[in-house]
Amino acid sequence: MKNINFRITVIFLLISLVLVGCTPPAAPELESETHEPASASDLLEEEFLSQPTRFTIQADDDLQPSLIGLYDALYPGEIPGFVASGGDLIATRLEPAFDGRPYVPSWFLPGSALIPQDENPDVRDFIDFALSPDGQQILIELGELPSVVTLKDQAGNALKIQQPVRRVISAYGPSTAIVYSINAGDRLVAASYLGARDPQGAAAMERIDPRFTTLVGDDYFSQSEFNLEQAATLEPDLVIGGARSGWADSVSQLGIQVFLMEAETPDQLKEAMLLVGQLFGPHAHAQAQAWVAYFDWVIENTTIDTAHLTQPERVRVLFTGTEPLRVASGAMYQTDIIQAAGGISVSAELSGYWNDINLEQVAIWDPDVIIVPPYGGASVSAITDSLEWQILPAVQAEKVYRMPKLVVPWDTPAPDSVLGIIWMAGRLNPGLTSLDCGEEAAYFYNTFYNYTISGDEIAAICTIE
Amino acid sequence: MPPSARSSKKTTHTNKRLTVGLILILPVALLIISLTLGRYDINAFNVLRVLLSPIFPEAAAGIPEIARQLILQIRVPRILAALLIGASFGATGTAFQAIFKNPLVDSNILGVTSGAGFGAAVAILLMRSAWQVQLSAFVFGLLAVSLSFFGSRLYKATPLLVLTLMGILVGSLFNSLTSLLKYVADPLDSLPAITFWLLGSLTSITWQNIPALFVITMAGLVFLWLIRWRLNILSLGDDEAKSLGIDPIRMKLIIIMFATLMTAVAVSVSGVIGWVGLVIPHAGRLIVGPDHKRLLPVSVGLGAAFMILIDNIARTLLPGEIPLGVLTGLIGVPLLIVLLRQKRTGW
Amino acid sequence: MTILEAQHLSFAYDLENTILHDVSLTLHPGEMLYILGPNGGGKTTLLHCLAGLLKPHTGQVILAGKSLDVYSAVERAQWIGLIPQLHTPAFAYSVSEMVMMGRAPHLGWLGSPTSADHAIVEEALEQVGLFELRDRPYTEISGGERQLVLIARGLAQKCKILLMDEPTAHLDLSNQHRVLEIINQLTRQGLSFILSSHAPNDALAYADNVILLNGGWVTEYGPPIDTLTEPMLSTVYGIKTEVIFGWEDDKPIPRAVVPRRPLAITPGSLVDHDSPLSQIFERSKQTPQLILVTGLSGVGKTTWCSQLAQLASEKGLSVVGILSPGIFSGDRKIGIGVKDLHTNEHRQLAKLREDEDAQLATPRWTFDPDALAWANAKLEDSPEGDLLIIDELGPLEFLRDEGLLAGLARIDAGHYRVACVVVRSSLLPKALQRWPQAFVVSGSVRD
Repeated sequence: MKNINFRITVIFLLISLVLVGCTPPAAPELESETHEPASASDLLEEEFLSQPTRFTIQADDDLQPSLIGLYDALYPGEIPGFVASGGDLIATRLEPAFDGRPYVPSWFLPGSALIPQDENPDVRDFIDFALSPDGQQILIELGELPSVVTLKDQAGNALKIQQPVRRVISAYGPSTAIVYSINAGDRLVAASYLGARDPQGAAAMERIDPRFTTLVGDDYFSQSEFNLEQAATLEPDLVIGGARSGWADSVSQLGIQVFLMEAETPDQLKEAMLLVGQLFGPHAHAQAQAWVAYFDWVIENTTIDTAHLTQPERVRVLFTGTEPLRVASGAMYQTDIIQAAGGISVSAELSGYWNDINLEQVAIWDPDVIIVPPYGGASVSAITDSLEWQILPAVQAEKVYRMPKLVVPWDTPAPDSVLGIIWMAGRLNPGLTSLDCGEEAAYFYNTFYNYTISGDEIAAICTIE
Repeated sequence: MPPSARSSKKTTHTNKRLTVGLILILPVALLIISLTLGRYDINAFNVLRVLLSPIFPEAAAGIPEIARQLILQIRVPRILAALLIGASFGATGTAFQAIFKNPLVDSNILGVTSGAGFGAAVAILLMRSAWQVQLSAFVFGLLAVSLSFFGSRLYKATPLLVLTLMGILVGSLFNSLTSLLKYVADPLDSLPAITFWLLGSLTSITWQNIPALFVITMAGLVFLWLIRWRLNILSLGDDEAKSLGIDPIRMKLIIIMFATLMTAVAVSVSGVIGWVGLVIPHAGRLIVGPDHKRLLPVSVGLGAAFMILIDNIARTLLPGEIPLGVLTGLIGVPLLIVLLRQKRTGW
Repeated sequence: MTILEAQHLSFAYDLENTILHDVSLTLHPGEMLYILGPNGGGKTTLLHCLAGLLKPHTGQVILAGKSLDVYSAVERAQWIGLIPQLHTPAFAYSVSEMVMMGRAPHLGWLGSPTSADHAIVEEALEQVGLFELRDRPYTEISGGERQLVLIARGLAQKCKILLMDEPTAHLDLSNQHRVLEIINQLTRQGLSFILSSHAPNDALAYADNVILLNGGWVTEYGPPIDTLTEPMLSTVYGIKTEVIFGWEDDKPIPRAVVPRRPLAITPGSLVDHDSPLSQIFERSKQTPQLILVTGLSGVGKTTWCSQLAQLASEKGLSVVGILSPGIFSGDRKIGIGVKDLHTNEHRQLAKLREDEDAQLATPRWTFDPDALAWANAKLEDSPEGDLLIIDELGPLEFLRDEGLLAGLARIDAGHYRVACVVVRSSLLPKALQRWPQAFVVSGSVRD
């Protein structure tokens, strides 16, 4: 709803930000003056103490050259202190374990991870550097990482992407969500967001990424539009867009690399995750693999949980769109979510995209549960308050629910949809599911968005009243 | 004069009267038949029992409640709306063709539909609730016609021509504004809603839509019914109408006012449905000739029947709704071409 | 008894263009009044004022003793019917539906025709002889029949006066006659008609009275025998006309007005004693005679005049006036000279136009003001003479009040015996409206 309102709000916010930025910050200046001596002395002390060895590294022999290179780049002229055991940081080869809820260590090379052993901030800095584009650059120069990634995007274009990718424009909501979930959100210079137009979504997105308000570029970059002038000022290395973006050719003619993704089915989504993961280095790729493993594990769980249900026992679900009488077709991702959760989408016989139908057809389908999406002004009350909808048993039984979301709606083909399956499974068969929505949401946002979701947020999203 | 000539004339006269009567009964018959049609299978006898149930509650005993509600809450208002909207388009199309002396116009010529489309798009973007969309469509429909009308007052030249021109200009203006709104609309969210509205559908009709639609449409139909014969005179041109004792300017103004109200209220609940007001009067002329005394009732009956039929297809053919604007075009255009071939000379 | 009277009507659509000036007329029951005049003369406007469709700016229309303003539109329609020029309606109404529309002023605001109205319509159709066609589409019958349908509509309207705008235009001869005969018979039943027309002959045959309307002014009003005279028609239409008389009860009755073509006279015929040219000179002894030499540019009007001048002086007649021969460079006319016939002096009058801002100029020529002043002085001062030649009076003189104004004044004053004035074809109507008694001669020289 209310794009216009929202856009106006954003404009006002931006104007007020600019105004606030322009006014001379009298009070803070005073404060900083008083603190300056203290912080200066801290700094001195720290530098003095850590001068000889910042931290010790316990590393496999063959990894040491890479680590020396990284260390030298971060702290010019210094060499790392390697120890045989008890190091502050362990660098080692690992077998990736992608099962259940995978823990993703910091993969600085394929198959090699950095594991911090204490809370030393220098260790954290070093790991961050190793995973950053600058660190990637060092590893490429050392010949440890390829300088070019060759792959085929989901529109079938063969691409040779120069590494590292530092500046990305994501002109497609799902691809933005993917970039965040493989921990590459810091490489975005502008992005189109999914579900961040409403105030709650925008606020949550800003908590996840404080740069959100400066990155959001829905007016310039979307499926239908790509503002070349604006793009040029951002100097991107890479543009990620949806496969149906009409502007792709004109952008690639400017010499900007374009990756097109298409994720309308679970398989396509998994493929998109893995492909985009490859673009941003070993850690991002490992994140993507972890997500795919998690997704498969969740579906496996929900499938096992509901396997014993016979066809007539399965819950019949109607998934409506932005209007109550607009429903999801069988080709849409929502149908996959319902099936994965052990339900049956009553409108699966429809083809195409959203279909407009009449209430008589709904009466024939006679769904047990109606789900409305968390966008486009759709609301549960639009259905429950309508006299006409009251003729349906599902409405009489008040089985009309809204699909949850934190930012990205959980019914859209984006990484967050894995939670949509979990929620849907709990919603349809409360007694049967082994996965808990709140627990999984906490794991998911922590692992894939680097965001610690609050208890209040979980309560607001997952509570099944 | 041979007496037989006169008596044969009387017969043709009676025949035509009979035709008019039959065509007026047609939509009523179709309405009853259509109540038995739908995706949900209910046989005709049970439909009858359901229809009687509000008066005799025991009549519907044994019929599932959902079927009963489906007929009373969904089918009845929807088919009723189709009847009223079709009658309204038929009548206003006929009236506009007469007063504009042009068989190729309908009540959209002054921009009412374009205005209503814009009003609906604005409401879909900003507010969203069904009644707000309808009200906004209605208000902007009237606003567009007022703009055309007062705009035409700026020029002194042939008033009808300038009015037509202003109508086309205002219509284009509002169409452009609607395109602008579609351009800024969210492609996942409000854009499909605007597009669907612009294609026309009766899928969201409920009893709540019926009172305003009924009152305004019936008031307009009664008015047009009463002045129907005078449409003949208005269609000759202002000078002849004046010399026959009619004030054409005032009369046209009132007709435009009624027709605009009727069209605006119809479009506000149905969305944009073209072609009906254009094609139906032609079909009527083929059957009873151009005399508006007979043509108007026939257009009312044919319009209502046509709309019920089209809507029956829209709601029953596929699980998904087929937009009415698409069907009226798909059926109306070939029909118009056939009618043009049948045309003798003149209209 | 007067049924309709117009008193000093004037009407203008805007301030610059007055369409009617002080038009007055009276109409009696059973009278047929013809309004004749050229296109744009104000005929339709006058009919619309009389029908109450337009409100005159000054003056008023009196209908049956009361001002037309007092009548409501419906009351007015019960008295006066207006039949506009034939046009095709947008819809193919049947003949009887068309006639039925005449019942409108007799039905209430929301009324519809009843069987009584049907009876009236059938009677009206029978009166004009179209009962057989009653179910035919109006758009498919002939023009004459359509006109009769509209008359029948007037009859069904039961009005006392029918105003018809050019009812015979676009009709063939037999249909014109059929319509006018029926109108004529209806006048005998007391119905009054005002017809606008382009056909003076019809007016001679059918009209009781005729109004000649020209440029919004009534130039003549009265019975056709008095109004449709040769000079009157020449003035109004700007062409030479001739009235053909027939004999009835030993009295000459005007039958037809026909246009008269320019006379084909050669200057050489002056030597023949009986030639029309010689007769003109003969007659000039009593009254001044004016010859307008006309033709398209380049046919030899100046040559015609100079030949006549030469022959006349050879015959011993005194010739005055001026000639303006072309000055040529090869085949191209590059200037206009001026020659005083009395003194044989030459000047250059005009050259091809180069200066866009020239004060005295026509589209092609720039005139020398001194030469013009000289020529004007010559025209003013020269003696009366037997033959006055003025070559030529053109757009400067007729349309802009410049140029050889002395020549124009001299002809207006009748200060000549025989005058020979060169006037190009396009300006001939202007010249004839000014001097309707003039002879028109084709100034082409064949040799």
